[in-house]
Amino acid sequence: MTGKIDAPLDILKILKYILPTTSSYAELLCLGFAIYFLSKDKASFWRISIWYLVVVMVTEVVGRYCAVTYRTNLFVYNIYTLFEISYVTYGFHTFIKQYADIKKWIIAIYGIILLIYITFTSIYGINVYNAFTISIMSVIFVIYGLLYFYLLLKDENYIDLKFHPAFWWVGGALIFYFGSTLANFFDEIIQQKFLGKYNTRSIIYTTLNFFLYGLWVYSFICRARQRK
Amino acid sequence: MSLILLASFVFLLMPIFLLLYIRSYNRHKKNHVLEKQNMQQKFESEMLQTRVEVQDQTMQSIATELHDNVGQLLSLTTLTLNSINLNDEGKAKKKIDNSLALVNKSIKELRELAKLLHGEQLVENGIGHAIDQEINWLNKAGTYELKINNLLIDLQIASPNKDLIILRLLQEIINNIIKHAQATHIQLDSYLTDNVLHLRVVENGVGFNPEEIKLKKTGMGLNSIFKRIEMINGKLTLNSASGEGTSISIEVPYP
Repeated sequence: MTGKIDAPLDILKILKYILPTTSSYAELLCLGFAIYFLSKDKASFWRISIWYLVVVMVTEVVGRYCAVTYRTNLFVYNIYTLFEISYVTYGFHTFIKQYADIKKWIIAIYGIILLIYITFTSIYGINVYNAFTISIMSVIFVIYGLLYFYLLLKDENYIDLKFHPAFWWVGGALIFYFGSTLANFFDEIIQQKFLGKYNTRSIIYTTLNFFLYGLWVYSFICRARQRK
Repeated sequence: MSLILLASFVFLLMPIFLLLYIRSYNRHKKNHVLEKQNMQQKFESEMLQTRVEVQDQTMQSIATELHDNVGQLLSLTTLTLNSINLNDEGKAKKKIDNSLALVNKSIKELRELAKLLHGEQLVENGIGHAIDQEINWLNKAGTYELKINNLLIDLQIASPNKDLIILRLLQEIINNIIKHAQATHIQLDSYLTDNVLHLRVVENGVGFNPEEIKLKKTGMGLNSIFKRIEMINGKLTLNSASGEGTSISIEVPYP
């Protein structure tokens, strides 16, 4: 989800690709918490969350491996994007359906995103970062997040949000996708810009990942608490 | 470059503030829900209290009736039977007949009392039916010229709590007419329009000054009628003046 290494081959990196990088520490921690708190969960969404985080970790490792082996790992992240679209769409569907029946809309929008993805890939190939689809996807997810909050506020029943897993899961997703909007739009520019020795893109995404996985971990804790 | 970072930072802050806003709004929602629950509880406890008061008042009426009316009738019967001289057949027969009449009257009075106790069963068939029963009872007494327009008989909706209070109000009003008004003519209209139940009782009795009675705060009468009508969010209009009879209009949101 984060690394986009398109650098020349460096032998030292071969040893490093298995170890987590700064940004994937959050993902690894999140996976650990997910296994601990959700492995006994009976709800399909929460069980899928564990597998999704496994996919995230595998993507990171394979991504680094491909970067040093094939000099490009963009296709790994492009394939990962499919998992991301599916999982997050399913998550929003799970939470929004408690308040409104928009299953048909969600399926239709999911189909459209996939169509955009396929079109982009067929034109530019799998080795070009699919920033266009990711931008569209982010905007859609932001709309889903805002819709969820709107429905939550409109609902007459009171829920204690402090321990409401859906609220924190959607909150994490909203912060991530809303915060990454600019980074998506100016993807080409920020990749080449550095602040000191740090790449701007990685600063933005490391921060966003911190919020995303931090809030998701908290939502897993809330979910385990809710199950009791 | 730092501009994009700054803008991204702002984009990051916005959803965070949104989350904080939602949490604070939710806290208000919690207070609102709690307030609503409190009000509901308060309403229910007041409703219960009113029911208890109404019941208590019914019991008092029954006690008074038993003591003043049935008690007296039976005492008189005992006295009459005691005074019978079996040697004087003519007088004895007359006294026995008198006693029989007294006992019959007692039975009749007891039946009326039983009806008072049956209030809750009466309203089970709907408020229109209960009002009808009241009127029948009043009609049987034959003391009054009645003009009735009860359009609630075929009412399909019901509100048990309100029904009982409305019925007791009507009973209270009729009792007041019987006890104090010295009326000869009673008119009763009841109907439902736009989810408001209307009940209007007009009589041509001696009338009274409502302000004076309110200030006196004596007995259960008028004050308790006003209190009960408040309980069910209703409105009561009372028009009366000495020598000009009384009219009472009740409007209650229904069901």
